[in-house]
Amino acid sequence: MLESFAFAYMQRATVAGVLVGALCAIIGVYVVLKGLAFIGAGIAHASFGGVAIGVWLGINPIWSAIVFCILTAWGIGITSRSSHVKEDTAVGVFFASTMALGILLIGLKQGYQVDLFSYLFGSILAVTIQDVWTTVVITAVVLATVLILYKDLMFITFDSEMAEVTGVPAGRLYFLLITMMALTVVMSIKVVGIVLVSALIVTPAAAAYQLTEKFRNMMIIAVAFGIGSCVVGLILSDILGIASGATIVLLSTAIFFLCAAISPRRRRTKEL
Amino acid sequence: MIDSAETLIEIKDVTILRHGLTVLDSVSLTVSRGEFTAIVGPNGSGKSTLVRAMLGLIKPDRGKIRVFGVPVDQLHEQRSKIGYVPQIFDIDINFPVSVFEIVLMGRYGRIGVGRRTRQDDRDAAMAALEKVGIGDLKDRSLARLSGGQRQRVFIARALANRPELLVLDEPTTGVDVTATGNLYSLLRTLKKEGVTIVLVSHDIGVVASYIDTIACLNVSLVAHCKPDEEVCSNALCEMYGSHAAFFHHSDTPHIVVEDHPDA
Ligand SMILES: Nc1ncnc2c1ncn2[C@@H]1O[C@H](COP(=O)(O)OP(=O)(O)OP(=O)(O)O)[C@@H](O)[C@H]1O
Ligand SMILES: [Mg+2]
Repeated sequence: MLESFAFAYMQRATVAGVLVGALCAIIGVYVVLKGLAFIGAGIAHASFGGVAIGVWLGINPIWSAIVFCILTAWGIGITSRSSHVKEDTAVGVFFASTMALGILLIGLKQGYQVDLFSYLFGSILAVTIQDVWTTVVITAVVLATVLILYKDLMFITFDSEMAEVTGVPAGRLYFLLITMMALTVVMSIKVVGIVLVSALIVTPAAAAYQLTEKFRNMMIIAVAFGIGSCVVGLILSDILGIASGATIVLLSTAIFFLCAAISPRRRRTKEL
Repeated sequence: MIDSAETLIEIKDVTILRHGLTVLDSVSLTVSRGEFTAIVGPNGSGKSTLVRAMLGLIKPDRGKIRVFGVPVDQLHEQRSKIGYVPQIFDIDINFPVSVFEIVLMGRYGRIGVGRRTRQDDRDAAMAALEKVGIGDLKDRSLARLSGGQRQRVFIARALANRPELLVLDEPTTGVDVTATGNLYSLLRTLKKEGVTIVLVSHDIGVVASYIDTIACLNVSLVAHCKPDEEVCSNALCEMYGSHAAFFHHSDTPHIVVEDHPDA
């Protein structure tokens, strides 16, 4: 196992795993507390369309996926905020259509089925040095944004209406949040894959939620779980020769159930 | 008296439709600075809708609303002068924040996006908690409070801002008699300090002695009058259907229904 770290691919994979684990956990806190899990899943499915566009145009699929996912996130946001369509309905409409677009475009590009598998289920070992740098930049941007807007993002997550009344730009912050969600999804594609990314966003934060009643602690614990799942999952999958994305997600799920079992919240709910 | 004062809220011919139903029908209402206005009306009469429109949370289908002299959808910095206690809290009581942090959120608009809270913000939040008598609960989470205690947290949050305009939508729901009494005497103090208050309530009788005007709402504005005026009693009769009227009893008029004189 330790020899594996000598390989450049394993180093790249580890760095990507740490960054993506942290990124997903941070965004996951907002997703869990604001109930945005379904939007996350929607954006993840849309990223398939985004990847397909990149493949079809012959450009790096990460870039096309970033643009496409952000546009989809905004589409979902605008539809659910401005019309009488519920958020989950808006997601349902968008995620089927963007996925369908992806399937159509991939179909036009014959012989691409092999690579497709790595986008759907992740192939952390195929992480390029360019991917690592992109992830470093995006993680830094998201981290800085969350630190600077810490109190404001917490406010709109807790009570968006009151934020609006008292002059906090809740609408713009919401769009910023779903934009960061889209970026997170795309950065995670190579590590866990389109199908599993929403699990990596939701699960560490949901596990952390079981253990604390403080927002900041929830953030810190979630990040620890996210990074832990990614790194340990990566090493395990390398030793055992199994799929990395699935190992990472199953590990974080195990952590979640462990936390739920020992949760003070659960004990309190029982008392009530 | 009202004409000479500065108009703080100006609602003009506001009509709001919901699912094709008219919820508010060309309502016009002005509130002057320093005035204490009560909004009364039966369930479903549009009180909350009017209040939410007043705060820019609902866009009227017709009509105009100005607050602090500005169209409500263009309010920016002035928003930090508004305190609001909503009727329904669409929030997660298990959200990982303490009571103190929730009350501190009342200051966030004033502090500004991306800026940190300072000592005076924390002092104001603590003072607001003390004012509603739950200073000792500051480190609890909402899940560990009773319904009435939660309501007081949100009242404290509205006060933390030291608002010039305080809008309360049935703030005493679930609050016990003592705390209700305390809230009303607090409102009286705030009024003396010049705060403009809009209160939606069913038990306006309790505060009627220092209410300036009552807006009787039932989809349209049935009456806008002083509490001791006869039109006001008539309007109440009309709205509540039966024999509701003000019952003047040692300077504190109550709304009563004749069948239950003790109510
Ligand atoms: N979100 C909504 N969507 C659709 N209709 C709504 C919505 N909120 C309120 N309504 C409708 O608007 C009407 C007025 O509701 P509103 O909440 O303003 O009444 P209210 O006077 O505050 O009643 P209460 O005394 O029960 O608080 C009701 O008939 C209700 O059916
Ligand atoms: Mg109401």
